[in-house]
Amino acid sequence: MAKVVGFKLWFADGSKVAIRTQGRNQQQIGVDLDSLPSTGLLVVMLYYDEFSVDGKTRYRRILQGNDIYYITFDSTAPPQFRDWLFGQTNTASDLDRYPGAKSIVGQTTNDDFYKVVTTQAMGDMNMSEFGLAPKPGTTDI
Amino acid sequence: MPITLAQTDTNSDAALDELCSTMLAGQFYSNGFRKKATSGGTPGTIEVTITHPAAATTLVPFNFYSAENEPNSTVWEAGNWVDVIEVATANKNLTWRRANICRVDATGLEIASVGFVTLAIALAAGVHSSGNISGAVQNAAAGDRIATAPEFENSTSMVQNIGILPSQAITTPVSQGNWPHHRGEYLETQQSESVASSMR
Repeated sequence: MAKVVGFKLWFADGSKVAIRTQGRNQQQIGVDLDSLPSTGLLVVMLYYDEFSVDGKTRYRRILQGNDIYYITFDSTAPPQFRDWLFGQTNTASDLDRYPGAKSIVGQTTNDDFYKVVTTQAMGDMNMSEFGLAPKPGTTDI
Repeated sequence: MPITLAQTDTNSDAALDELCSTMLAGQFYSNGFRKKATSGGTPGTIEVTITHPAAATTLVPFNFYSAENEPNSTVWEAGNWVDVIEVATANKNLTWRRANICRVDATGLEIASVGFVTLAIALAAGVHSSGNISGAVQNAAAGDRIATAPEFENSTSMVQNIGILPSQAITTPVSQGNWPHHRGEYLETQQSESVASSMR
């Protein structure tokens, strides 16, 4: 099962945050999630520890175009499946299922800026922002 | 022996106005791609970003076309086809709703639907298969080509991106090359040579 090794957040004010998740079954990421903004989120990109079939492209997942994003650690799952959960929803009551989750409200912006941000996110294979070395022979940088 | 088509990074030279699906013209992603999938081809390694427009609709994000004179056959055997997609950057707001296999002419113009299957595959990172798509026998022109056309649904009203790796294989029931396309050229050459030698 793929694990998230890090995630990046792009905000409407042009700022970007990169946070490394510290490996498997960890409870802390070394960053106070409450210190993150609670509004203005445009795009989330998750970086997995798995690669494409040919081993060259790191698998990722983009979250975009929703009203609310949430981040939490799934401490209720069996130990082998405990991991960070990242979700997106347009229904605030969905957060009731994840007490204690950090939620960030999404923001709409003009099309041109949104295109710039999403293009940056799709092209961002920079693992050094997580303090991780690029994997040789892959698209990591 | 049935051919298997390797998806490649190479853009297809087929005419690019047809969708190979039941959809109407204009329902192709404006930034979608059309690439070559060919027997013995080198699987693609370059992730391609495609963007679903800001509407909760189902559209065709990309096509794969077989190479020129592939399968070079006037009878395409009936049987099962399998379309496969590798998603490098996932987007769970997008769902693979339908896989289409079509017969197009040498320029890419759609001639017939070979088969399709409806799907409900959330586009997580990884390899996704259509499963078997039952295809009827096709009485084809020798230059007809194979085309695939997936249909993705956007469950939101906002723009959505996804990263596709054109790296997988498309299974076909069709054998390569029972039409003497090259033999025709050979006979033409022989005749030309024969004419030339009779003039000497």
